[in-house]
Amino acid sequence: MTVITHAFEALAKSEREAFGAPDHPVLIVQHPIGTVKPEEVDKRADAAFEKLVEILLVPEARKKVA
Amino acid sequence: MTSVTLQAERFEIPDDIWAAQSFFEEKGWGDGLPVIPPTEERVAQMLAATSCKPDEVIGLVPPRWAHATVEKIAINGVMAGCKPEYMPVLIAAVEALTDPKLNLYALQATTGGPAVMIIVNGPVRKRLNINGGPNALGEGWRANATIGRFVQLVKRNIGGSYPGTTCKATLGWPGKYSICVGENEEASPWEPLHVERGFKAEQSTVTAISADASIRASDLDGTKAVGILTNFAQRMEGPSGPEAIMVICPEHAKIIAGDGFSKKDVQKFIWERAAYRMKDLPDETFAQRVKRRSDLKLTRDSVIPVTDRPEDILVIVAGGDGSQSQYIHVWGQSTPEGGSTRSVTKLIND
Repeated sequence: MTVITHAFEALAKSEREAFGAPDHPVLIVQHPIGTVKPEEVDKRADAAFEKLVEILLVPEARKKVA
Repeated sequence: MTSVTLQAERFEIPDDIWAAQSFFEEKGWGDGLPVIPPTEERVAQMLAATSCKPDEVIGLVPPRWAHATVEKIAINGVMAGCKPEYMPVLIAAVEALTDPKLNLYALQATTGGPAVMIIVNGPVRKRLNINGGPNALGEGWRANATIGRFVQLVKRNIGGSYPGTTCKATLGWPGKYSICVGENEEASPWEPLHVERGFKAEQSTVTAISADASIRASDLDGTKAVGILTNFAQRMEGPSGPEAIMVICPEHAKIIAGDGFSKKDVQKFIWERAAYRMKDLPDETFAQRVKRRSDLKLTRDSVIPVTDRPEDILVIVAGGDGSQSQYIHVWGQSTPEGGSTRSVTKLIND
């Protein structure tokens, strides 16, 4: 799967089309990351973690990802 | 007059230049400047200038990873305003552009917004009037302007690189419209770039390299190599990417070589002085550097040179009268593995 910030969402989706993998799951997290404080990055990672695990373990969850 | 079978889709558009521009704009084909309509006749003229077959695939252009066929190269060449005789250069440029070492995907996708700079060497420069003299990085020469523009059109029209969505440049810079230069080999005291890279002087080549906006490195009064080169090094504060480009004007080159400096000496001299001192960095920047290059075991006393190795500074001679050289920073990350992008040189089969 691909984890990407929303600024790169269109690019990530374009890539999965280009590689013929339209169902490849793309998990979007809030942009930016590089210029936010570490504690805020931790919060975002925690928020994304559950979703990430679900996508990896539950096939149906992958279909729900945009 | 078309004698070849073309694969591209045909569109009927009004025989009016402004209506044609509106059509291209609606389709998203172009760079914002008016383009030359790629009629069958014009495309056929381009194809007649190469022995390659129209359906031959020269490379895959990201982010769409679409096939850059010779036909598509011809179409984009017409759109950019290229003459048919430029075709061998355009084909070599696409070979360079799509070489995995250049890592065009990263160049397209990064917020850094670099251009792909084209450097042409060898006899083809004279034949096609590719400028390496006065205003070499500026306007005024059709070959320079349109070959550089062609590169951008390939990235967009074939590769699907659209600003804001698949091209993530925060700002970009005007070189993204076009940046193509011939090395001024006749005014250079050193061997030209392509010979340095193992080609024969009588061969012609295209070099593609990631390029950010340039910084003027003038030294109007210097009469000694050491002073001029020190001034160059001082313009190169902060690390470049995996490579850096020093465009040395003929007047500077003559003085530098006259003082006994070979091209390797120039690279070494600059490299030893173009430093990034860790003690001067803000805390966060220092911490980031330490993390990014853990292999260097950086401390506050460390000094990072502009590139990992002296030979990673490309030195070319270009320009006309005057004591004005330029330093061009190369976008990309320097890594223990050699970096996220490397310049690529390809032979022009003309």
